[in-house]
Amino acid sequence: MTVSEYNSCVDQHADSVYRFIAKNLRDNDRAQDIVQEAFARMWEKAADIQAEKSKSYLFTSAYHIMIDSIRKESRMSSVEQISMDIAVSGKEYLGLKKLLDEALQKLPEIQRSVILLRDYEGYSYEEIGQICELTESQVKVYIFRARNTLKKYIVKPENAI
Amino acid sequence: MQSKTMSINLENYEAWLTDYIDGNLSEQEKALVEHFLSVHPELEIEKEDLELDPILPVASESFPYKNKLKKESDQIISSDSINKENYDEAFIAFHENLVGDKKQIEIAKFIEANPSLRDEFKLYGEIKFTPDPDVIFPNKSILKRRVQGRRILWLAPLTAAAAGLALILVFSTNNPSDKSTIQNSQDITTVTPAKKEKGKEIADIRNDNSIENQNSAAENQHTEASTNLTTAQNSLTFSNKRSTYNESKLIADKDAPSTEKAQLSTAIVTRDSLTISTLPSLELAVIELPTRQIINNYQNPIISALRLREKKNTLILAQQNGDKGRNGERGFKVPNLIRFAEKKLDDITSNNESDFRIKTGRTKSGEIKSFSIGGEFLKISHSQQ
Repeated sequence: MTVSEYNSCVDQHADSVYRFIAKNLRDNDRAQDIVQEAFARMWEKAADIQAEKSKSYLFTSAYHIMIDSIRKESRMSSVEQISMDIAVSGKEYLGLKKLLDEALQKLPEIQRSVILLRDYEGYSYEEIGQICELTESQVKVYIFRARNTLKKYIVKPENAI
Repeated sequence: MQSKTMSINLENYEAWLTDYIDGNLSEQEKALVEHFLSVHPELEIEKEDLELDPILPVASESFPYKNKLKKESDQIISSDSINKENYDEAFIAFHENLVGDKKQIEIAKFIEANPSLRDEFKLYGEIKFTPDPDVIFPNKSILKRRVQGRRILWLAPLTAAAAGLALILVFSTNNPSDKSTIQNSQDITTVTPAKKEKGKEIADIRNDNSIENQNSAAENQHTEASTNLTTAQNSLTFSNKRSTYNESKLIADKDAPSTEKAQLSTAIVTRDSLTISTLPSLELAVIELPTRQIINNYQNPIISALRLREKKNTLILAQQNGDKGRNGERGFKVPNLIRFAEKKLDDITSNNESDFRIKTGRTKSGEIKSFSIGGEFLKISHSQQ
């Protein structure tokens, strides 16, 4: 990967990886730090990275930095744990998009990540598996569980759209 | 009455028994129930238990809204492979584009048979997250690189100064008079256009045993003749009390003729061997100006002196901070810089790094090598013993 290819990667993918991290964390400052760190790591390995693999490398780095960051703050929820217990009394109708955003934050970290990689970037299950260090089967299970959970959240009587 | 499309099983047999007792089953259905009980003796239900007289007359007293009391899910009609247990998965798979034509047709038929699930099917299609184009990474320029191993982050505030950054290091011989004679000015001029294109200022940093008493006229003459770039104002000298020299082959410039390659050599200040030995593996070429404040103090962006220092695994040609060494010398070790730069250039050019250029000129006093890094220009000159 040459300097120009690296800089091209910045132009092409900085925004998308930033959106991915920011959506996960809902913390723009932390997301910026993570994106910077991810690019720094990619630069260190630039000589070994093929340009066509740069996006995947970038997302993989950013994802793992994010996970490390979350774990450091002891905010990592259990993979299978999910809490749908939120105060809904008096909540007004939010609209599907806001409701989805709200539901997304209730998902376990791993499910949230695979869903966003799938929807934001259109990654295949195999690619998501490489980024998140999961098998394709695991990715599929997490995506299916996530979508099912999101659907159940949306159709809850208090959230009924 | 139980639907004839449904079969009796352990999950629904109680409803069948109720219908049996209520007299709502045909003879064929009764036979099904009796057969079911015969193969499930663990239920401990005898046929006689089913032959109780109904409490209420069958025809006239049945509850008229029984169907409305039944749960909706009970009404889901299964297809070949889709049922109430797995239709969510089928719907998700459909919207994930994981199903083939045959499965799609089956799902369509399943929804047609179960219209109450149509909205649920649609909802799964709407559970998608789309990136917000308004969310962008602020200031992408801090992520970009201009030179291998250098962050624009620290360079950014120094842009103006960096625009004027260029170096000429003249490694003189013991005889100052040799320095000012140009042996091959044609070669030298190959450097000049590149410098002019970049609009760089060149500092002529003398590394000479004559220290600050060096003949400035000779310096200027040499500078003008060789590059016509250096001004007296920018000519900077620093002390480096050199005593002895070793000859050391340089890594040859790829652009240089083979005959010249053999001649390339530089003088190594043996007294600087300590510095050389402490150099880490040369990883990246970085020119760093510590702070704008220091530059301002010098009143121009020209590097007044250089020194090598280590920062992580990166060697940095840094602005000299004015400190004097124990022997009174100031500045960095020119041979180190040359060795460092030559090796780096060789690595870089071997990797076909297009951002790097190298040109070679010759003077009587030795070689002048110049190379640009990501648009900036750095010259290193050295002379033969």
